[in-house]
Amino acid sequence: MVTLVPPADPQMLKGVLSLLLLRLLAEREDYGYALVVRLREAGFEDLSEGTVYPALTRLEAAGDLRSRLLRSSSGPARKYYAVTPRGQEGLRARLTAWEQLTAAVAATLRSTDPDHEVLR
Amino acid sequence: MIDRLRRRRYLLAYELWLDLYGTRRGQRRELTRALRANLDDAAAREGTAAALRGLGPARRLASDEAAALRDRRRPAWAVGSAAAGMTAIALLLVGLLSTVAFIDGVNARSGGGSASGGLTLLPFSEVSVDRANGGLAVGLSGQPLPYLALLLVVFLVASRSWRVLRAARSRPTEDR
Repeated sequence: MVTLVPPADPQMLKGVLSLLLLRLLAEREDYGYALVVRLREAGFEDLSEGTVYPALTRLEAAGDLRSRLLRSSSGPARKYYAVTPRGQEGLRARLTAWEQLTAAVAATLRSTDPDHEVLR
Repeated sequence: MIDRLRRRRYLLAYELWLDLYGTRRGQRRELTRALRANLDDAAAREGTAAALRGLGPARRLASDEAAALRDRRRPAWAVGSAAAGMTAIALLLVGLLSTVAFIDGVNARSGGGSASGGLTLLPFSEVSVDRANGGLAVGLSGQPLPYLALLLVVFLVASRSWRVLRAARSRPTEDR
């Protein structure tokens, strides 16, 4: 497993958390803790639940996500989130913005440091 | 058993903070129910201590959730009411303390009689103290309008009432 985001920079993760959540939920609907586990398995090992849950609430309040309660065999009903049509549009816009950003960052790093390890 | 108590304590604190941050009852219940399910799952997988650590302090989580729910395009009437209420209480306290200080000043004066005067901290008001036959009569009078205007200004500013106008202006654009 590769750690994608260094633990020392939580602000960087916060900036892309909405994109990641929308992408995961576009794949399949899921509930809060399961999303935390999926993100950790993807490499965001230091991600905390306290960061993810408010982000889900924010996306739902903005109309990018909808939710429903589903009974769980192990305990109380879980709140499952799914992406709305508005959220799909938001995801596309965020993906485009992310690609533009990473391309611009990579170009800047290449031009200022051609031997940069990350870009080799 | 102890783990269950710790979880319950966290959820109680979380719901209390949500309430204090002005989250509506329905939203509060929904958030707490979702958190309980997530916390149970996390505790089963990682243990209660790690699950609670991952959530961070209940107050911060509640604050983040309340901020996420707050619609920044709408006025916060509840916040405005609370601010105006606190200002009214502060004014009453200042009035009470100033009046007590005024009475002490009159009492310190030798002899009886009556006295009246304005209060420095509460303009537009006047206190009258009458000492006769061993008794004491105190009256506070003045103009209520400046204070009502002050409370109104505090209410309008704290509730960000201008958002009503902004929302009304942006509505036709959204409908397009």
